[in-house]
Amino acid sequence: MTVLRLAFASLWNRRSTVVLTVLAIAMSVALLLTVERVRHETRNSFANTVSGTDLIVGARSGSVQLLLYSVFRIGNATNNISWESYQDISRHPEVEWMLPVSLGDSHRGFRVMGTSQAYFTRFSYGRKRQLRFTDGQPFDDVFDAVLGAKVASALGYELGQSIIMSHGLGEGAIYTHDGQPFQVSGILAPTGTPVDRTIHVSLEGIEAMHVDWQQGAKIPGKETSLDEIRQRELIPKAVTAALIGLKRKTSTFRVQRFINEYREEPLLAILPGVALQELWGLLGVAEKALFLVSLFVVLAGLVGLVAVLMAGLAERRREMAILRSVGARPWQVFGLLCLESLLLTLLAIGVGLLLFYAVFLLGSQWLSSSYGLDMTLGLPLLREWGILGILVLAGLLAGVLPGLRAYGQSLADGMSIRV
Amino acid sequence: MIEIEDLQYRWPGDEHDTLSIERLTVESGERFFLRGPSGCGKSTLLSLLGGILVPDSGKVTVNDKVINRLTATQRDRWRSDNLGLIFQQFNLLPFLSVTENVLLPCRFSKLRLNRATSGGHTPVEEARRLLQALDLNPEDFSGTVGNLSVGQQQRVAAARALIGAPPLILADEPTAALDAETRDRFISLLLDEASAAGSTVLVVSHDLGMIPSFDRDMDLMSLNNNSSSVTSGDS
Repeated sequence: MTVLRLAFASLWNRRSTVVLTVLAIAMSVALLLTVERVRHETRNSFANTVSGTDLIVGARSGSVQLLLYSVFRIGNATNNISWESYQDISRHPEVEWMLPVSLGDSHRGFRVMGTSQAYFTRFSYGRKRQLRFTDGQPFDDVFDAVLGAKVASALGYELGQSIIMSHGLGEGAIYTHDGQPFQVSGILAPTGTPVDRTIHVSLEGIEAMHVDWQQGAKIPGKETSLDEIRQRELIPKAVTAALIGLKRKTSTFRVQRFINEYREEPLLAILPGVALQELWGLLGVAEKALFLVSLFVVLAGLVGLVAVLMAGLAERRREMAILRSVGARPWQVFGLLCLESLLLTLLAIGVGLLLFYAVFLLGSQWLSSSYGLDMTLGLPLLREWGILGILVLAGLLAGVLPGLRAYGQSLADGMSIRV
Repeated sequence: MIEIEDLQYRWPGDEHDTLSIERLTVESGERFFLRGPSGCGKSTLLSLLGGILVPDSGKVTVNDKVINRLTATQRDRWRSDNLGLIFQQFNLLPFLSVTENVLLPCRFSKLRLNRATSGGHTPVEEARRLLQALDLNPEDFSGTVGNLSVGQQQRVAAARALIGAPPLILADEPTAALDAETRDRFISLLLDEASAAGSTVLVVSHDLGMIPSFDRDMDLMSLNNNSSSVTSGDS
């Protein structure tokens, strides 16, 4: 108890020299926690994005790429599935449902996805959770659109809002489908998945947007009226990808093989879980590297702490001798140094946690809007507690070296002051 | 109180004994002054009496305990229970308050805590009583150590040595940093309080001016059979 009070008082006395060390460790702790949390949340959010989908189909490319563009809306498809192939596969006896995904247009940075009405009843995320409407209903008319929760909240849209789609992706898309405005018919409840940042329209809607277009460019001067478009039979030529639900899980590999060996067109069918694992395998190396780097930053901070404590010992010889003269045992002098190191580490962890939450509060907004990663702010997770526990231990250990030095010094000096 | 017999001590690496004392006896309650110039082995003798150093041969008995036969841990414990120490200068921890500095021995020795509180008051009250007895004002000891003059600091150190009435108080050149006037006042206050507490006082110094205040004085040079061969090792 006495030693603890002495450690506190002595540290407080040297606060100007120790504060930077504490800050350095605090920042490294915050970095480590951030890396760890982002890793955890990324995995969580990715794993929660699809459930209940047995197969994802797209043009033949990499399985990770297909997974990324079809469900996460990251990257672009290199090719499409022709509408004939799509229909052919959907007629396979084992296929219970098949949801088209047609991408390529956007509205103010949010992606527009053409799909079928069944999407709203069949698609599930997280632990088999269904999509839910907070407002309105699925699209019915060709020019109806259903907004994800984030789209509605970010742009402040409500039901009936008229929106113009842009051709291509990104905020500054030059070509707009201004001849065919869409109406918001429904708004979905938040899901914490890319669905929140998607504008859903019917496949016919996607076709309708491109009525006056040819080869990816608008035909000058041609303006077909909306009613005229509605009269037409709007059959898509192709879709970007498709999500498939099977009647029996056991037939997954059979249907996968059927699609992969499809003769009319080179296609690829993937199991979302398997592709996700593949993705983790790719990211794992980067994750580990990041984690290691931040671990070494913490280590550097702790080495700095040892250096500061060691450097302080020379000028604290008198302090140690006085302590010895009033009855402190050598092991108490050793304990004093260990305690100081421990206290500083604890303080650094405290400050580091505050920094971490501050970064998190500021950064989660940005992560959410730019990457669709929704971070949940909460108490440290079990693994994080584990990391913090190890750091506390490391802090205590960091005191051992200066502690031993002080122990040796106080044995040699005794109570005589040699400064 | 102190009994030294056939003591011999040599600093490691030295050719001759630093100290060779056939016999030294200090009675309980005595105020004993040991004089000698710098480098004659005064601090070495104090370290031997304090159980920091152990003689190569002979016997050091303090308060009926042969301290050179104790283990290092036992000596540590014994020292904190039985010894009050005053150094030349800078005796105090700057990051503790005056009162906390005085209370330090009570934090490391239960025995001294018990003795300090035996009068029925708290340790803090006892510390304040001692500080006042040593002529310090309450406004002086409520603040930090740094605001005190050197003379005041030495009196705080004396109060710390006295708290919990240790049987023996050792002082190593306690007045070296004081002028003659403050020196005399310091010594008389220290000796009076030590007498009140029943502590034996041993002061080593080269300052002969304070000899009249003591019961007995002795020259370490004459006591030490090997004084001519002292080379180094203390100050």
